[in-house]
Amino acid sequence: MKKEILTSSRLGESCTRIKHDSGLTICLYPMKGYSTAFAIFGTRYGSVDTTFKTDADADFITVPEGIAHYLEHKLFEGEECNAMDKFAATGAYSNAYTTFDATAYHFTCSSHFGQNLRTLLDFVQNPYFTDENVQKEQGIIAQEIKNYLDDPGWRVFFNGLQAIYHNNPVRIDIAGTVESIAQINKELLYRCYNTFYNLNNMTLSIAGNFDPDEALRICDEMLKPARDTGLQAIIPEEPPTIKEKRVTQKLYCALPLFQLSFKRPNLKGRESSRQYFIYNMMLDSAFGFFSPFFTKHYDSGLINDTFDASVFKGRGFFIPMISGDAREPDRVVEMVDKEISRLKKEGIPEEDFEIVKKATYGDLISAFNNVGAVAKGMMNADFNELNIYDNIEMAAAVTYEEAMEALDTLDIGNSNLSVVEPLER
Amino acid sequence: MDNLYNRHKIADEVYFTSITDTKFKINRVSVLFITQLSKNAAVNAVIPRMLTKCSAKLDTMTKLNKRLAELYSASLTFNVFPDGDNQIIEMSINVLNNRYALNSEDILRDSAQILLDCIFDPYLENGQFPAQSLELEKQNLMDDNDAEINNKTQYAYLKAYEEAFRGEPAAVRSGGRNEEVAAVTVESAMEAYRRIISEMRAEIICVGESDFTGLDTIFAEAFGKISRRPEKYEKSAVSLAKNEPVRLTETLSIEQCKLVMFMKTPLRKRYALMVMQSLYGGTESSKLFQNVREKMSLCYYCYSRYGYAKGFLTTECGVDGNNLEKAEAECLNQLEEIRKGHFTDDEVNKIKLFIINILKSSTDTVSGVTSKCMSGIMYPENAVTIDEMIGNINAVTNEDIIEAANSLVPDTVFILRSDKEAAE
Repeated sequence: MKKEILTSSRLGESCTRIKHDSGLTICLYPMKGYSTAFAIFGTRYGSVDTTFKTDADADFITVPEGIAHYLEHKLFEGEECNAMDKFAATGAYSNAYTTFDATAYHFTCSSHFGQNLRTLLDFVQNPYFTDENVQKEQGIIAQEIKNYLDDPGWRVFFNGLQAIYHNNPVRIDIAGTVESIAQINKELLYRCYNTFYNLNNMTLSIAGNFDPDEALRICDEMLKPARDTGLQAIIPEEPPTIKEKRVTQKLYCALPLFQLSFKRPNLKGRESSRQYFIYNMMLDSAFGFFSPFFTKHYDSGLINDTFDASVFKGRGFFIPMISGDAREPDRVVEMVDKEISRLKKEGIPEEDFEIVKKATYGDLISAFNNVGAVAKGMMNADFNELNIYDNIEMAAAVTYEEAMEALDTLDIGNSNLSVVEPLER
Repeated sequence: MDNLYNRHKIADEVYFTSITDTKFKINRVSVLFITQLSKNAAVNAVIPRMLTKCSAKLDTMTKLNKRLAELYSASLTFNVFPDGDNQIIEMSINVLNNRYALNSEDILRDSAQILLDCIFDPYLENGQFPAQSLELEKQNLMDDNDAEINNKTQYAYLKAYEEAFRGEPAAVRSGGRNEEVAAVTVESAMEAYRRIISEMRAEIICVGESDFTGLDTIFAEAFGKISRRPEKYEKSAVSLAKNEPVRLTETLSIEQCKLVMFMKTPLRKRYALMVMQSLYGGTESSKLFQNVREKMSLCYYCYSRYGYAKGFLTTECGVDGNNLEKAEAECLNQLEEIRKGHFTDDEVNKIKLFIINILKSSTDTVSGVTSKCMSGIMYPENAVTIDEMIGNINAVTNEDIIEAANSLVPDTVFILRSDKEAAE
């Protein structure tokens, strides 16, 4: 077992990161004065992981869209009872989520921490899929999919992803489609489980009111050692150019919703996180709430306070995005294009960049205020080959020149505009 | 209440409360104005939008937002929301603790001053809000009101809510009706602004790491400069069920139907109803989740909400049109099960532990502490401290739960149908 104490002089706090003998990475962050503990057990397995193999497989397999999310729904079920019932017996709140590149199971409790941690480690390590329980979930997930189909915010986002990428599986809806989930069976679920729910591919992260020694004792007792199986998940080759320039859908909404997505090459690991701060600071300086752009176009009524400019990133994708609600989305894009050209020539005011940097520092420190945010932050940092304090230092190290270089890469010619227009009632 | 949270009067119908908890890395200062929902809701809702855009001292949005960013991303926000028959107009600021300042700035004091300046020293032209800015914020409010349709679950809930409380102040939308927003003038806006700061009851709630020393004096001075003529505070009235339940249907071109049922209760036993609602549809171990979702696979979401102020309980789900009747029947059947006492001590204990866990969790965020504090101020009859609330939850008996379920009377059903389902 390899144990590291990580310290932040800026926060005056420390936490522990352990590479457990089982293969699992464990991050522990006791927080004084808090009533609750938040524990999250996650795997680097999301909706983008549709084609993969381990060293035990001769060939790559491609599985139905939405299977990572389906697996997440089914994992709570055990042979004797549902894990949610076990959490409920102590009053703990439990839930799970699937993103493009991760799946995570978590609980929050103010008592019975040890019992709940045992439940978490037990059910995530012991899948129980039957033909019957797999079939039962189809109706529930179909309703979840349909709920999102009526959501203009979700559709403008997904339509945009589908339009900038040709092959990247981030263009696939996390929950799949009613048709794709109909192909999912228990054999496929076990195959995915055995591939991705290997402790070498996972992180357990705990923050708040708990005893780290007790947590480690329970881990020692319950974690089943896993062999590194040489997992390979394929993110297909992606042309550098967008698939479609503009996509539109009509749904019930008040104002048109728009999302301008800039296609950028994929970035990996630490560099992806570093560039995330560089691009976000650049976007905040150029289009943030105190930028000349924001004030001018807010005052003219072209944009409103839903306007946002930030990076959407994950394993295999890195997308600077500008989005919001506006009566004239094409005019917003025209103005954004003009502003990018102007700033490329004239430069972002250096003073504004320094203020954005200070604001970013404030946001990063504030995130350490919440047990859930800290636990998730440690897990996400680990998935990005970082520790939770690296973000603060990484953001502090961003230079004005780097922000300007990032600005230079923004190319409206290689962007997509996704719009959801109001459907008449 | 007053001693516990150090709540004290600083002006006529203006109270200052501070809650210090050194575990937090941020501080939050909230100013909440409370009035009854009325025809003035629309104009009231425009005002915080105007006030949080700039002030006389920071007279453009750029200057204000830049200053907030310099203060380590201090976040100045507004929220206008209903609480029973009342409209609450909240303006607040969230800031990083002074100890994390890189250049020894007094972040809290400077930010609180910005909030004060925005509220008490707004940017005016010839004694009025600038007409152009006012028109812009009126449009933004109308767009927000229209955006109810973006979230179909919430849209269906609000439609049912409006019908359930028709004729009562609660039926007035906290953002007002768009015709009323459109009718706001520079004169009526200024009149509303004066009414907000001089006539409405106000609560200032500070939560965070700081001890907030001296902030009460600054707020007292600001309110002291205003001639306060407080309006009479009207407590929300419990709503009586209609003689005949109302059933409304609207059809839209959507993928999933929404069912919302409102029931009302004259029973004022908040904790019994809270436990009953959680047992019925408040958690993953609830009757609705376990049966309508897990056993019958009819829904992704199926839950209930309880509103103490007006005395109501909802049942809500998203379902395929051809399963609507089945879902509605099963939801009602599950309520009937509780009415008949068909639940176990074990189920009730789980629910109580869950509620207690949620109550304790609320002490771990500044927004949770602010909201619990406000609830205690608005409804002091219900208990104040978390420990008192936990005691009240634990004291609920199975008979109380059965009584609570039997007190519910059907009032309104709203169904948002899909034309796609109808065509199939």
